[in-house]
Amino acid sequence: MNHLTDFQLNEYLDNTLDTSTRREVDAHLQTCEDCSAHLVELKDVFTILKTLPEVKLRRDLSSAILARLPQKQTRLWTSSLAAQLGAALGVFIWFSMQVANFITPIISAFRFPQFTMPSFQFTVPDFQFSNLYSLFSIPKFQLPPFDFPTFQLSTFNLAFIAISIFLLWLVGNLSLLHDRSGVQK
Amino acid sequence: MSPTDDNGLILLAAQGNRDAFSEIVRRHQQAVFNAAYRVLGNVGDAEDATQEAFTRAFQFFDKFDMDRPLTPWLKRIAVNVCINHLEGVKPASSLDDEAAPAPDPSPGPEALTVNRARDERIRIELIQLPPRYRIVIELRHFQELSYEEIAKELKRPLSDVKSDLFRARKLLAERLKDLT
Repeated sequence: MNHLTDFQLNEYLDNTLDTSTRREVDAHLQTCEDCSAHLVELKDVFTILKTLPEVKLRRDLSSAILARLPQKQTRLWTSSLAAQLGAALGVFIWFSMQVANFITPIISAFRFPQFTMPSFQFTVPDFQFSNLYSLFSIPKFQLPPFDFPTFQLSTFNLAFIAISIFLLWLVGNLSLLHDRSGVQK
Repeated sequence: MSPTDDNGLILLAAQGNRDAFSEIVRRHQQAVFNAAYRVLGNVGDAEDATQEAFTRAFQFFDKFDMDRPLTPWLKRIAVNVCINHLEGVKPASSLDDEAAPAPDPSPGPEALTVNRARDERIRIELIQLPPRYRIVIELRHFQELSYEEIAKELKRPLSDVKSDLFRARKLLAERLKDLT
């Protein structure tokens, strides 16, 4: 075997050689003084670096670092806020349409109610003012015919409402309760 | 996990708690500073890099993997800050530049004990290495990253990383021969 290369010696010290190559290098080092000396030199570098003590920091940097931290930024417009607003708007439009469908027949039923003045007839024999009793006539009142409209909610609509409310709750919580964008003062 | 261990403090700091973050800084600033100092070789620059590293860490605590120790993560951020610093100080091919910054002269070697003088000598030789060599030495010997991890961290080919590391060791071996 030729002399070991720098790559082989370094990888030997870094324990990155495969088993068979490592065995070959070991065998070579047993017999080659030059390579062994080279290995020792490199090993000394490992030892020197490993034993180099840390330098003591001259001052505590924590206050200087805290002063550099970014201030809390209040984000007026975020993607979650936009999603929440969009969902709310969608639910509002849908719900408005449902309400409109519900109250339209009620309104139209009350729009032009038919009133008929009820009449009561009094007979007062002692009085001669027969012409006056018509003054006490009470008009006849008759309730207009009214069919209470039926309001049906399909399973789809129910599911839509439930999902919308859940999404609103979820997005609202994400937006309002888990704001990590800034720094607490 | 308690509020006083690193992970507890990180959770609080990620929510913006400054006291928790301050405690994290006090615990780890020494290690982070030393990583920066070994790469930059200047106390003032290393302090600046330490401050910048912690400021960056504060912004990315929510991405920190709590299953891993905090110190290596902070030191890697510090090395990245140092790389940016070196690129900024010397434009273009700064990391390939063979010239090295002058080591911090204080305190003077004459005032040191024998051991401290020896340590200072090692530091000076380390700082005399080209920046790209210092970075791979820092990542391999002080942060104990594998070749592959270093290549990934530096976004450089594995062969380049090995080549730089082995040359750096060879240079140090030659220059520090009298110390061994």
